[in-house]
Amino acid sequence: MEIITNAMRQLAREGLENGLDIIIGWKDGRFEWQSKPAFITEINDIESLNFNNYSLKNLSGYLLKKELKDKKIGIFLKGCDYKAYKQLVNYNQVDPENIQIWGIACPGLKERDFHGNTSNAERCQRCQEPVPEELETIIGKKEVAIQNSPEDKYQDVKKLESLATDERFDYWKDQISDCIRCYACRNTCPLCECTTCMIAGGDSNSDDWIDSAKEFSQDFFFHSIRAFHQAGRCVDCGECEEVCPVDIPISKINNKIRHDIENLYEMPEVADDDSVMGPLLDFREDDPEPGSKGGKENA
Amino acid sequence: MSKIGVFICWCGSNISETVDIEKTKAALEGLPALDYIEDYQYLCSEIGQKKIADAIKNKNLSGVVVASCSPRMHEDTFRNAAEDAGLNPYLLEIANIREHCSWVHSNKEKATEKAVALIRAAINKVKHNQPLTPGSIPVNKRALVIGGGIAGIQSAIDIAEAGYQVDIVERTPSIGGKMAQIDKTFPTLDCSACILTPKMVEASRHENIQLHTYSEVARVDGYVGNFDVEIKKKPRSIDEDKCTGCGICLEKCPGKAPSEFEEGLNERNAIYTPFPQAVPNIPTIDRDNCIKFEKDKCGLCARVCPTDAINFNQEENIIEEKYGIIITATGYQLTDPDQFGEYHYNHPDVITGMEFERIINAAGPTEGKLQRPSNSEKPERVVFVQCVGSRDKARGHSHCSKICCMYTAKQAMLIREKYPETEVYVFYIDIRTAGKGFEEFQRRAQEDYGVNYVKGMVGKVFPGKDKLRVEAIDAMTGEFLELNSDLVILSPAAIPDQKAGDVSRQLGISQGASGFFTEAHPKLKPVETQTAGIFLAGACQGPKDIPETVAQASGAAAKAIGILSKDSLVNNPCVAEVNQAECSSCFSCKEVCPYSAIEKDEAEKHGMVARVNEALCQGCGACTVTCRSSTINLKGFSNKEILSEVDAICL
Ligand code: SF4
Ligand code: SF4
Ligand code: SF4
Ligand code: SF4
Ligand code: SF4
Repeated sequence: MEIITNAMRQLAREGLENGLDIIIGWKDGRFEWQSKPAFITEINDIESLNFNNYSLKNLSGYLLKKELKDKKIGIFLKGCDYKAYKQLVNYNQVDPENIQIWGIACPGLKERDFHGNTSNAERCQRCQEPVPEELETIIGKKEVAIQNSPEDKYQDVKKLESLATDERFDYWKDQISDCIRCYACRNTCPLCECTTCMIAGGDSNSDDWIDSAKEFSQDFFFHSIRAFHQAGRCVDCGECEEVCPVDIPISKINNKIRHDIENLYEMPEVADDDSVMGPLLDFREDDPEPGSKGGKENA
Repeated sequence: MSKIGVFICWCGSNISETVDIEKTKAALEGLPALDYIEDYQYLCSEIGQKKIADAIKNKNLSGVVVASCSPRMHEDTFRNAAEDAGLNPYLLEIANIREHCSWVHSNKEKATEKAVALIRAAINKVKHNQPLTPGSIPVNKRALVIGGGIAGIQSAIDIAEAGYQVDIVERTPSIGGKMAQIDKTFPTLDCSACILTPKMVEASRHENIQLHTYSEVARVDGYVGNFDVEIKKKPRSIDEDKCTGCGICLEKCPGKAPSEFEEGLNERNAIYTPFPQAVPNIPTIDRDNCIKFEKDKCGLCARVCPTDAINFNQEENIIEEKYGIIITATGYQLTDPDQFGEYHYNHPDVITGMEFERIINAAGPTEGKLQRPSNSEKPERVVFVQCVGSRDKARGHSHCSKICCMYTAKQAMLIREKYPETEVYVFYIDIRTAGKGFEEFQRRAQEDYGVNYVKGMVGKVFPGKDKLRVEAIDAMTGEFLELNSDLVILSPAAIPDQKAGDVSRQLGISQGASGFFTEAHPKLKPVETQTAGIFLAGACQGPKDIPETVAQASGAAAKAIGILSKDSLVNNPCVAEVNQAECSSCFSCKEVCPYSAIEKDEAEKHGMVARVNEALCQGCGACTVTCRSSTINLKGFSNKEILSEVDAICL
């Protein structure tokens, strides 16, 4: 961690000296098990940058902020953050011209629950690409052990899939009825980039797709529509689940969709460059038809 | 306040037999949204239309629902009636209670229930309908014809005669196409070149026609009335303005290659004109076989050329032009018989029908003398094999190539006429001669010229020491036949030109299972494609003989002239529309739009946002369901309108 922190400070200093307007990284939170995003514009503040065990926050989402438009930005991105960044580029949300990216070989981070118990972060256990290999500058040790195999990372999803339809529905009903529709998950997601969200209700051009009534059906619509809107894009950074005040396992929904995309459409779970768009945007003459030719039987 | 009127049509008994009209009316009458309701036996009749128009005027209706047949049938009829009565035609909706209801259900009670639901949905929708006005798009009065065979030439001449400019783009160095290679035409037996050459000359001399030979279409953008096309002129290595076509260069050239025009039966030089009557009469250097280009030696042609027209440094040239319409006339080619090993096409004495045309032609490689290519001797017996790859679903193509039965009859007759002592056999599956004078012609081959027709397929051709051994079954007697032959002539399947796939992608038109271009409607729109402003002429649409090709080419020209004669076209107002203030610039819509109708627009608010090119948009709606933020909407089918229909049914 110290090596990463030192390298971060060094690069941030050089960046500011070479004309970057702002550096986005992490700094310590109030407690030792916290980490916060840091926005550095002054050389004097560089020492506050710190990468610790809890620097989970996916910073790429901040690139969407209007305040940063036309600014020259330096940003630190872990493996998962970098994938999110690439999605933003694919969907024309950021202009790579103005952005200097430094990669972080992420050693795997920790999370702490309300009872104070610390464990390896769930998302890190699923992660297959902790190092943003493509980047020119990568800080930290590149040889990072992957915690779980590609198959094993879908354990949760497979467990749910093995349940009967009714049982699955009951499980989700139970989870989703807790939702208070605070929209924190949507607001924090680096890929929820729509200027106006069609499922927000009330203030949008939603034509009443969903209303704000506190009813299970409306909550359910919200989560299913959001899941489909993330199909082929969600990078499993875990931000949504992290911020949910009522602990809804949102990652599980997204993981299920990712699993299906890979299996049914024979596509990468996440489109990794703009030549492959998500399954809902891509048309190929040899599209596998789930259930008939190609494409493994599933769902 | 909206005032909605509903008109229920009985469609004679088509609807009223299965849908209880009285009950339907009763069920609707209580609806608060409804102000007027009426039923009639035939709403599409003049009286029916008048009923609608009168009610609009007298009751001051602001929206109308017609419960009747499919909108494909009479939407225009009823919209016109509404417009005549002073209502914007897009404030009229059709509830399809025939195709979606009475025709597909038999239970009267349930069908009636469904009719009520469909009408309620339409009422709910029409309340949200907005008046729409079609826009107009200007028309470039110039036509592009892709392909310079007889189809392309005929279309171009017809359009040029109507007073419009036409460009022909032809891939090879000369126009003329396959027809130029053919010796005689059926059923009249006139000389193909004699009737084609004047047309070629007419095309080249016509003041409204511009020829781009040795050229290809590189890029097509745009839409009906406004196609933007890039034409790539390949370097001929000859200065066309200086060359007089004297042909001196052709004589000295030591570079050699098989002649395409002679079907590879003899050679041409590296600098060549494909055939003596070629138009334009300007040679082309085939750079792949020219010694100057291969080894930087020779250069003889340049030395002998009296006008200094040879230019080895000529470069590819791209020209850009705008067109109002495009006609595709890319023609056909013959399938390669090599894939049917049993016929031994690799043997010199096994040839195709097209090779025979060259052999029998007085200007061809043998000066018209019938010879075996292997030893230049006169054959004593000739065997024709029909349907090589045609009507052969398993190994070849399922379609019938249509022209082979007739050209084989013609070729057989030509042989018997010139060399009556030659024995001629034709092996066929069945004979197809549907055309004016065709059956009579084919019978003459059998009855007057003594050609032996054997119903049955040839199983194998074995190259023997001197002769070819042909094995076949006579399907009439079941007998196994074995005969020696000196020459075997195959009729390979006619398939689309090799570049048809590229053209289809460039133009956004579709190909059927056999690869030929698909017409918009097989009966009523045979020369149109699904893409407005693009038409089909000749064998690119399917195998055709010359008269049919010419007829279709003129048909395509007539359709084209119909567009070119207008100053502007009315477009469908049901197009997509972006709320730019809310667009998040993800351009997912651009990705899915099959008509490339979405463009990037410089926005005041933030960077680029999506904009719909209304002239290109076909109103398919793909973009509207793709847009995550519901920012893009289809006019006439907005989310609001659709959702209120759903509400009417579900809530
Ligand atoms: S953060 Fe949790 S509670 Fe809030 S909207 Fe998302 S799922 Fe619902
Ligand atoms: S949906 Fe959740 S896990 Fe996926 S990218 Fe958004 S915040 Fe990250
Ligand atoms: S330069 Fe090429 S084209 Fe000219 S004569 Fe020589 S081989 Fe023929
Ligand atoms: S899909 Fe919607 S948000 Fe994205 S560019 Fe198109 S209109 Fe804008
Ligand atoms: S409605 Fe269809 S054609 Fe029109 S812009 Fe949308 S996707 Fe393209």
